[in-house]
Amino acid sequence: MLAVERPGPTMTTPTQPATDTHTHVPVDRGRWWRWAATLVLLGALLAPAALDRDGLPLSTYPMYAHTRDSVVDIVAVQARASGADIELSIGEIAATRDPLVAQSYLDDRAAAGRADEVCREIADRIGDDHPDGVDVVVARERHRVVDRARGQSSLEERDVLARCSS
Amino acid sequence: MTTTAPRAHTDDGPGALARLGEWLDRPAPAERLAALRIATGGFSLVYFLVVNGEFRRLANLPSADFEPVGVAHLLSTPLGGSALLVVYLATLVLGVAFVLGAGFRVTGPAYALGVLFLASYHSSFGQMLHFEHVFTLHLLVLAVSPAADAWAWPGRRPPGPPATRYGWPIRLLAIITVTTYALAGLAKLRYGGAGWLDGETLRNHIAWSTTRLDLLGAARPPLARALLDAGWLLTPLAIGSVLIELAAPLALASRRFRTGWAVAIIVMHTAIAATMLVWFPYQGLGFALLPLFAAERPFLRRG
Repeated sequence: MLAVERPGPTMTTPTQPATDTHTHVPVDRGRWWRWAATLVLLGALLAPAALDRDGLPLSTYPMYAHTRDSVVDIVAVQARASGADIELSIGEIAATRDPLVAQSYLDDRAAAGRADEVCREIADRIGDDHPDGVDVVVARERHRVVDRARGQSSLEERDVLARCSS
Repeated sequence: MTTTAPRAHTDDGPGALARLGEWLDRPAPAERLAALRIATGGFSLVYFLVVNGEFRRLANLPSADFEPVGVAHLLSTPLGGSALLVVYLATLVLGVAFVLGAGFRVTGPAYALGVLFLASYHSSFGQMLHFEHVFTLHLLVLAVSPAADAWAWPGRRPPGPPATRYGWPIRLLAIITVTTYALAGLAKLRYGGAGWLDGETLRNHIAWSTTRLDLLGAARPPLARALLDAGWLLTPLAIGSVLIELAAPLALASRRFRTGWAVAIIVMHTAIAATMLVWFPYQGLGFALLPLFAAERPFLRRG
């Protein structure tokens, strides 16, 4: 328990002479223990930065710390049913509500050569809502992100990684 | 003739180490530590209830996606759906006991370890989620502190006067909070370099977040475009955010600075949410900052 509180003797011992080389200096062990534990905690918190190794629960906290170019490759998904584009939700794309998780899911699988698998999973998820069939395309796209964020045309390149239907 | 033991301070006043020691040992009421137990335990409990869908998703992922992080390294393969459900539900039950302070010597550490596992497991499928680090660390400290000496169920004898054993764990929680912010500031200088401060990196992160959300069919951040159009604001905002993070340890030293810094942190997280739709709830709602303040006072006044 973090409940070290031993009052111990006080730091002053007025009855002992200054010249006594055998003076017993009382030690507040609780205080030393607290200092040691505090330093260990601080060392543990700083260790990931010293080792440049991110982890959990100890971290370098690198969120948005790296530089990012204004032209970015991103894995995107398009779907069509009955001749019209379908607007997919994050949940339909990656079975999550978290956009960070969804993008990581797309990027990691595409990087691992598993775009076909992603394509089929998405087609299965949305297939029930489109009984006439649905076409899904997974593509790596290169966008000028500042233009995109301003609502302007942004696509520079598009490389289709997988196509599938349900 | 009288003398003293080795001096802890100079004639000009206490030295830095003595002041630090005095700060670490400063007594606090049991209710303050209990308030932090209830706030942090309550927050984490609600958090894991809200993200329950994430654990359903993880249960259905193939083993090939498993990249263990933290204590999840203890597993060679991901948990089966039933086992994950049992761990998840057991952690929630322990969380209720943690908040109540019931059987805290057992339920406190058990809940903190449960959260450590769930947070590690949550980040073990390719995306490190930094939302969960600070409350996990706070729970680990609270779990081994006398945080259930007050405001616990069932009630016990009164906890007694303010004491170091209640104050010191609170200092550790505060150290965790400010150190994580300082590390985040250092990371921007380390990984982004001086380029992070000229606003271009911040601009590209905001634009990237908007593009990502756009392509995923989600709503755009409400203030992203306005900020990108007012480009002159990006440099001061980038410098300001790094300064706020690096200045975090000063919040331990100065009471006046502490309040201003806490307000700046809340504003910063709100601005990040409005421009990138990235929300750190434990920090943005102020829970992470509570160890810097007398968290029990609002409840005592009402009582």
